[in-house]
Amino acid sequence: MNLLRLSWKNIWSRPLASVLSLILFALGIGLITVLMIINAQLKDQFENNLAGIDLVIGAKGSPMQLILCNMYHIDAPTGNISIDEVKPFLNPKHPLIESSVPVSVGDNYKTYRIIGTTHMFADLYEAQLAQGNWWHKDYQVTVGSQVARALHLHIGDTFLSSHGFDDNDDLVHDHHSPFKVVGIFEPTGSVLDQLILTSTSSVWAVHGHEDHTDHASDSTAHEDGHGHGAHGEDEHDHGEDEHGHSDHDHAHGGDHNHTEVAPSDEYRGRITAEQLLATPEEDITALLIRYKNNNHLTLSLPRSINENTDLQAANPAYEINRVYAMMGTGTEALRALAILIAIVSGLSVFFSLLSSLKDRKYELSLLRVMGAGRGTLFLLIILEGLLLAVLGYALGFLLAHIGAGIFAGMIADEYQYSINALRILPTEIWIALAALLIGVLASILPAWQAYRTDIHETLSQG
Amino acid sequence: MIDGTDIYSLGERQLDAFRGQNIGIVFQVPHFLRALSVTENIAMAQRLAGKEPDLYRIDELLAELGLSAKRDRKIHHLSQGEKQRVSIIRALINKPRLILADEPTSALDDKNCASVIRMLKEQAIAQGSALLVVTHDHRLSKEFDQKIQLSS
Repeated sequence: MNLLRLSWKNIWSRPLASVLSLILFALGIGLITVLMIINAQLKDQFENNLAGIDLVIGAKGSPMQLILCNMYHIDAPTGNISIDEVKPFLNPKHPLIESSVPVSVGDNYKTYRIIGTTHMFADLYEAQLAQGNWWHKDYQVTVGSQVARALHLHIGDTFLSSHGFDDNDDLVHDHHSPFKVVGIFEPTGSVLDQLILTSTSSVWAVHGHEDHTDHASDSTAHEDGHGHGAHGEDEHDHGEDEHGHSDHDHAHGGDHNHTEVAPSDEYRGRITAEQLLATPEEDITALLIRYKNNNHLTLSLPRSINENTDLQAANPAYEINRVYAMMGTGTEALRALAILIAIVSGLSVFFSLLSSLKDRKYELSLLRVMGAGRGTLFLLIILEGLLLAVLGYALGFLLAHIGAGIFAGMIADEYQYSINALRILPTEIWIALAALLIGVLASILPAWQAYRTDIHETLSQG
Repeated sequence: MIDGTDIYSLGERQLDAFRGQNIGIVFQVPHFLRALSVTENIAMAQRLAGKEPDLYRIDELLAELGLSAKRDRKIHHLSQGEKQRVSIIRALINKPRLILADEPTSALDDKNCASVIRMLKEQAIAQGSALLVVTHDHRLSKEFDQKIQLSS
């Protein structure tokens, strides 16, 4: 019967008080830990998904929504823009722009978003093929690793997309040919893992009004003059949309009359700027832009776009900081609550030990009579506090990771994000140390009282 | 002076250790560690005296006082007489040089009183320990040959 076992048995000889302390401890620790896990992983993902994108150009609306929709794929689009409107930014000779990637969103397959884009989109996230091939014809898709895993998609599988972002049977597009999986990406740790990529023209084709039975490899087959909005509610009438483009034409608009598909590009299925420019009346949701260099011209570009055109330009880094700031207020409040619970749990350990000492006055004297020193009694009480802390921490740790798992399941359905509940953060060690500190602090005063146990006084009372 | 040691010359730590090893105390009202069983309480006395618990000897003593059936029970399941008997085993387990008993029989009926005092005497003689009993229980007066009568 060593001291540790005696401490252990003492704790369980007053089960109600100990269980209460443990529950409070576990709640406090669990809440702090789960906040840390979710915060860190969301931040990680947000930062991964910046993908070097400097600017997003889309329809007017909330800049944050523009970013969330087109880069993070968790919100609805602000609307559509016609290629004609953005043609200056598609020009490969634009002096400021390194690359601009068109994005058309608006459809999903079992809540996983289908993105109409070019291969450059995958290059943003440095995605590599795990198997199969890149899409290079309409209705071919290459899917992110998470999509493939979750939906058990294999090469050669086909599916029908549905409109919007919910898995709704009523909105399934059944008038077009099914999409066919031709490739699967390696995991990238970015939002790409959660996306289904196809050609821009596939999205136009799905939203075209003709039943296309023969799906040619290029978009020109689908030029039928209808509004092929990537997002149906927001279809523009292109005829009336021709205004103010000369403001931002930057005198580079001259050389986009190549409608031929270069064979080398065809091989990789790239839709080049030229191809897009060949269909100026078609719509996309946004352009993701990387600058060549950051300088005073790129600094003023978003403002000039916002003031002089019907387009909206938003800076991802800036908008994401706004998201952090908003998330921050909520997490701060929760964190304060969690710290409060942790302090109360420390107090409950303190009071439980203190009141147990009153009942154990004779036991402590008895231990002294049987040869235990003052230090032994001190240690006995400290050990009881520490044991509660360790046990409480272990419970809190489990609670946090189970909680993170449940949360991960919730947001995986709702948004295209995944949180790894099993990942243990290095900072969790500080929480463990803080828990031990609370245990020691809560037991140090009761331990001191035990240390001062006076044999004579106690035993002479009976 | 106890067994050649001047206890007034010992420091506090040494006193604690000396007390644990050489003095067995039986209280008027027996106290125990509530969280532990009968056997564990006795074993604790051995540990605190710096010895390995001798479970064989503990069982032997428990059997001698008719407590074998209670060896793994928690203390609060025991009757007053049983508790006092356990506390005597605990006082004796380390074979102390000196056994101090403060009103050991005041809470006991005649039958328990007799077995307790018989046990104390037998063990004291067997181990060669000095036994000092403070009592005003007249049932004990005929049991001892050396008596100091205090009256005011």
